[in-house]
Amino acid sequence: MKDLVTVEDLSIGFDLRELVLPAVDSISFSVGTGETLGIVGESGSGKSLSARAILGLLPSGGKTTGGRISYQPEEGDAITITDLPKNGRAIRKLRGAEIAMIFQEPMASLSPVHTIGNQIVTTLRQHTDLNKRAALARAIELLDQVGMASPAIIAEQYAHQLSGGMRQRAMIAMALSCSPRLLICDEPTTALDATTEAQVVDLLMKLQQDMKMGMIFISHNIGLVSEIADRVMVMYLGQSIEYGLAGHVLRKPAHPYTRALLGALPAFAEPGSELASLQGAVPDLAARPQGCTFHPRCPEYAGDQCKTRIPSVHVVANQHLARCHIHE
Amino acid sequence: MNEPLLSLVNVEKHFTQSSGFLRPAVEPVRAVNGISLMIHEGQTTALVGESGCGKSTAAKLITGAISPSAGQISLRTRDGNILDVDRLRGRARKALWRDVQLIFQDPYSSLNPRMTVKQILAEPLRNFNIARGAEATKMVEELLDRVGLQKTAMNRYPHAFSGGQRQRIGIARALAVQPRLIIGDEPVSALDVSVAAQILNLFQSLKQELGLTYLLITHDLAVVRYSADRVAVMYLGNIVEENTTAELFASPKHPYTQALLSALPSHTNDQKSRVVLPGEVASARAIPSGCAFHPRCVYANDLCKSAAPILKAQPAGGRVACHIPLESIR
Ligand SMILES: Nc1ncnc2c1ncn2[C@@H]1O[C@H](COP(=O)(O)OP(=O)(O)OP(=O)(O)O)[C@@H](O)[C@H]1O
Ligand SMILES: Nc1ncnc2c1ncn2[C@@H]1O[C@H](COP(=O)(O)OP(=O)(O)OP(=O)(O)O)[C@@H](O)[C@H]1O
Ligand SMILES: [Mg+2]
Ligand SMILES: [Mg+2]
Repeated sequence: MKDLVTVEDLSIGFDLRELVLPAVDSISFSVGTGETLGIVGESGSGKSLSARAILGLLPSGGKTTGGRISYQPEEGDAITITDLPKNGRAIRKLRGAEIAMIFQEPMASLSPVHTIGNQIVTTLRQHTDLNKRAALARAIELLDQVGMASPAIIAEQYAHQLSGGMRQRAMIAMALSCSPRLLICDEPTTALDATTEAQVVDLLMKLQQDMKMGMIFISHNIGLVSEIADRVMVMYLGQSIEYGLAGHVLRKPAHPYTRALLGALPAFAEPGSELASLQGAVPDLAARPQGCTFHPRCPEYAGDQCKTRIPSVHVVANQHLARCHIHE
Repeated sequence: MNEPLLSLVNVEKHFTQSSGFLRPAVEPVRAVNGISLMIHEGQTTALVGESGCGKSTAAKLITGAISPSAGQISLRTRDGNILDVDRLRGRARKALWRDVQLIFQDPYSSLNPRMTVKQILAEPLRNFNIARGAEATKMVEELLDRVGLQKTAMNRYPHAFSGGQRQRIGIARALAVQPRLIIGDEPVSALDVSVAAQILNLFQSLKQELGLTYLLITHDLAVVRYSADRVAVMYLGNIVEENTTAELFASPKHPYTQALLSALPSHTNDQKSRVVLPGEVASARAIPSGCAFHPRCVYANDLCKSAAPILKAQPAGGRVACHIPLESIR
């Protein structure tokens, strides 16, 4: 297995006039061909930003403040994505063709003024040598594969004429159109019912097998992540607090945060009862707690060191890392 | 039982498409195809069904954002009058939003990108004369706190948030005017379990404290089982079954409901068994004859192919639209 993308000590910040908000703090991971990395963590923990950085698509005001991302193309030398000019030719060539992304909010990335079919055709024609007609046929085929009924008619619709789940699938079709080598999925099935979700996930897994596609799969559906991920990264307040093989991290979680996250699954609660939610809210980025950033909410709080010292990353098992003092 | 808070009678919404230059007229999309539903005050009703079956369209019809092609939607006001939602115009329609609020499925396009969070949340407070100035600011802070966001969020614009944070801004906006009916269109779909739990607990306590009524659209059956009193199951624009949550989960009567429920992970095994319905994916552009579900139904007979079953009250409670409800097979 070759590493497709390697992220080392990546930090991302937002320039507010008074300060730089540290949204992602020195995270590292890699994804190989045919491999799936799952990223989980509470809302606002930096999952989407980390993923977008790989495409060089940080929102305005956001910038990498440290570390590097490199991508290994099929042939030739590795490309350091973090060195490429923003929106320059080099990064645009990678985007869509080599690395594609299914964005969390479909409406934010689908054009309101072009039909779904035209949008896929445009992507296809940018990156392949299909003619217009062949590209349209391919677009319809993709829409069919993601489970859309009457795909030829769907291709003629605008985004606002589709249901939430249909928009999400239209975007999945678009991301898959150029057979990317690395597919980044940011909550790709949140708008889908279980049946449709199963169909889409099966499709992704099949494509992964057939094409040895690497995948980054961001989801708050931990059950789903456990089904498809080879490795898992757990994020909290911009940091990677646990990282390892999916079987280790989700079956034998080593960080109190991961344990708490797994304990709040509603599928296991009595109807009408209080769900075991984590204590307190995620703190604001501008007021990150000292020491371990999770200490004010930690159910396994282990004394003063948690408040004062930043925990280092400990190896708790083979290829299993956790950032917590209890493993000292 | 007293008058329902909301009632839908044979409501239809068909989207017609202008036939293009070179192509013949396209079949209209029969997104909502004659649904009848009553929602009583203080109850949580879940609306479930496959992607594209018409749930969001039903939600938009109830808020008056779009007009039904046929049928009637009525709401009982605070002083006991019955309003025809589609007849409301101008100020009367605006006044409806004091009572009925929608949490949009897509927070991204429902939040004005040029307004700060504070402006977004304070605007309805001002419009409905609920609060102004310092008092409004205090209420905004409280709202943010209840949905798990920090005060510092107030002066930022929607784009400066994560997906789940934006969804919670939408929830806070819907709660701001203290409506009587909240329609949540996948309100917790973008949220991780712990934040979703916080929001569902919030809904539950508002229901107990203020008697709020909810119509909850969700594909997450665990959420349904946890928070709904009643469930309505939609298939291709129609309600095919409706019952109390306990009864519906314990003994589904419609074959579609049965298929849908088989996706629910059980307490004992965490590996979810996937339902893949046989047959072609359903399309609101080409609804099959007879019972719309018949091409994918393992029990279908000739009658099912030709005659559409109507939603009938069952002797044991609940309503089912099926010629051969599962009970009669067992
Ligand atoms: N443009 C911006 N300006 C300032 N802060 C931002 C901006 N965009 C994102 N952030 C902050 O960065 C943090 C991480 O955001 P990100 O979108 O990566 O979260 P996430 O883990 O994907 O969450 P979710 O599960 O809710 O989608 C959040 O706290 C968010 O408020
Ligand atoms: N403005 C519109 N013009 C044309 N067709 C529309 C319009 N709005 C919705 N539709 C169609 O109506 C049908 C039902 O859509 P709706 O958004 O109500 O589905 P839904 O049940 O909410 O699905 P999801 O779970 O995917 O959000 C779909 O086939 C959709 O394409
Ligand atoms: Mg995100
Ligand atoms: Mg919808």
